[in-house]
Amino acid sequence: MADRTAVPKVGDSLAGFDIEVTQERVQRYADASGDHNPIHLDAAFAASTPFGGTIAHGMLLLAYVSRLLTEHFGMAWLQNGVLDARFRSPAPVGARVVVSGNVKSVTPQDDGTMVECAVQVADAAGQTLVTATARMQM
Amino acid sequence: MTDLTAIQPGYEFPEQSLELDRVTVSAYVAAVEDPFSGFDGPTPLVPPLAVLALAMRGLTDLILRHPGTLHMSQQLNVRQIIPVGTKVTSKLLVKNRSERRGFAVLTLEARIDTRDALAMTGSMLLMVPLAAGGASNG
Repeated sequence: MADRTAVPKVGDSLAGFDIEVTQERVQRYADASGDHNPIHLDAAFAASTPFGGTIAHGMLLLAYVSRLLTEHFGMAWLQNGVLDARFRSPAPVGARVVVSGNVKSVTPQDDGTMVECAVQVADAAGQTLVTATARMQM
Repeated sequence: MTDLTAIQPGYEFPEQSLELDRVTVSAYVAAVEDPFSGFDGPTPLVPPLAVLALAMRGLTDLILRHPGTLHMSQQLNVRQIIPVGTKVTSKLLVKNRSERRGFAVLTLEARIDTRDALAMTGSMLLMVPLAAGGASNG
């Protein structure tokens, strides 16, 4: 399996990705996770809420954050990753979200190197949906 | 049924056990579209967010019964790589509770263990409406 062990430098960007949060994707996540909250799945119900329509699971957005970290840090993220995330705004179904990050600090330690990154999920207009700090020892 | 608005610090949710089997994990990986090769193949691994999401299904079911619950933040601390097929147990403890603007503000701490060792810890901040109604972003 792929493992990216190259230690990054402070300021490096983590090449991200964008993805449209379709109802199909939200449904698939609901089925896989067991979270069938109607705010994510039932358009009529969701229309009656302050959100005005269905929204993505917060944990789906975090799964996209994890996907970014796995892509860049491989086994280090899977073995000792730490994630601290805040949900800033919901992602309405139909939104295209952009997942990106950058390296904030690189700290040599006795048994490796601690890397800290800032990761965010934003919508296409640039509104922040999730902010997160991730740390891995490489 | 547990009333999320009434539980107090120190309350422990019933312990849950599950096997992170190939079908369940594959469905999760497909749903979040994570292309990392380590999640496929003869000895696949489980994404950390999958461990957390699947282990917290009981809480998800409970949140469903409290419309309007907001998932404000999520913290995760991975302690080991989890291969598919691993059996885990999850414990969830109410660490803090306060009230603000008509919501019970709960900090929940999660601990997920394999048979032999700690797999991960986490914490989440939930805001549960004291009066029924509304939606949830869980």
